Amino acid sequence: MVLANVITEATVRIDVSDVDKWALIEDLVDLIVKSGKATDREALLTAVVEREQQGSTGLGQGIAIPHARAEGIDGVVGALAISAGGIDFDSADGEPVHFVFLIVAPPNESTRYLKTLSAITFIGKSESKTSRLLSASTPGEVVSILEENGETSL
Amino acid sequence: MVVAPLGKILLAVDATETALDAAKYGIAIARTYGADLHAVYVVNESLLEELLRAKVFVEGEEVDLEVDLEEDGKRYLSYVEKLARDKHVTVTTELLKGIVHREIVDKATQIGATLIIIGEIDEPLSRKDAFHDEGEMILRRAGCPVLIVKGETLVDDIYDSL
Repeated sequence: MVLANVITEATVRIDVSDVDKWALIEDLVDLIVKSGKATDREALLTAVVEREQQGSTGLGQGIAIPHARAEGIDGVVGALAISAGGIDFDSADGEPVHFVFLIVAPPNESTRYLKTLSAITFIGKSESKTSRLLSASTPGEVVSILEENGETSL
Repeated sequence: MVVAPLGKILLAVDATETALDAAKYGIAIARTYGADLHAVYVVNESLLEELLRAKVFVEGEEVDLEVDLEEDGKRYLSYVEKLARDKHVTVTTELLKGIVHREIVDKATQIGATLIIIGEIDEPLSRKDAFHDEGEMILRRAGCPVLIVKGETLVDDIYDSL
């Protein structure tokens, strides 16, 4: 499963509210660093912010996927913030986002990095999955939902 | 004309551990039955295009990624060569770009492969995804037998015992 071990309970935040986009990105970078999967916080934060400044990763349909590659990252790693109320992310559709997936990887894991980004766009298209993620009450529940295989419908 | 059932094997390599298991198994078959082994890594251009269409990337971001995808491919093929060399098996490697299942199926036809070997297929993210999974597509479209390699521990035992 593509997302297995990419996002863990330690890198999930639920019930996120009243936070601006840039502060949230920084929080998600910190989650990844605290999980032990990235050694250079400043390099990682700079890479993510620089990419976001080139153009919002708010894709629309309530999903944002800030992403970057940097040295000192242990494999493809992610963090997820879920906000029922929504966060302004300068999204393509002008709507707030409810799911912010931060995905980072070292430069030599490009294929897995792309597959992970692709897998997340699939999640964004699934109303049933996003609905269940919004209702999840613990990070553990979120991770279980993300790692489920084969939905019954899209 | 007699055609050896394991005369020419096409090994489909991608950037996964399961593909390396498939490589080990392919090497074992080649060594045991004297098959010609040909390994191909296809840079998945449709994945890049899909992410561009979804506007995940800004303009130009995909250029660096494409170069790195090629580097990924060369690294994996280089490792397959080492795995083969360690067991005194010759393997021909080739890096291709395009739609993965099409390149694999076309290459198999081109070289006259009598068997395609692939690694374990990922669980689909959805029913729709199942129809787009490259492994599934190879299974459906190949013009020769396809072997899916599973069971990492068993494969390691087979390879180590060569």
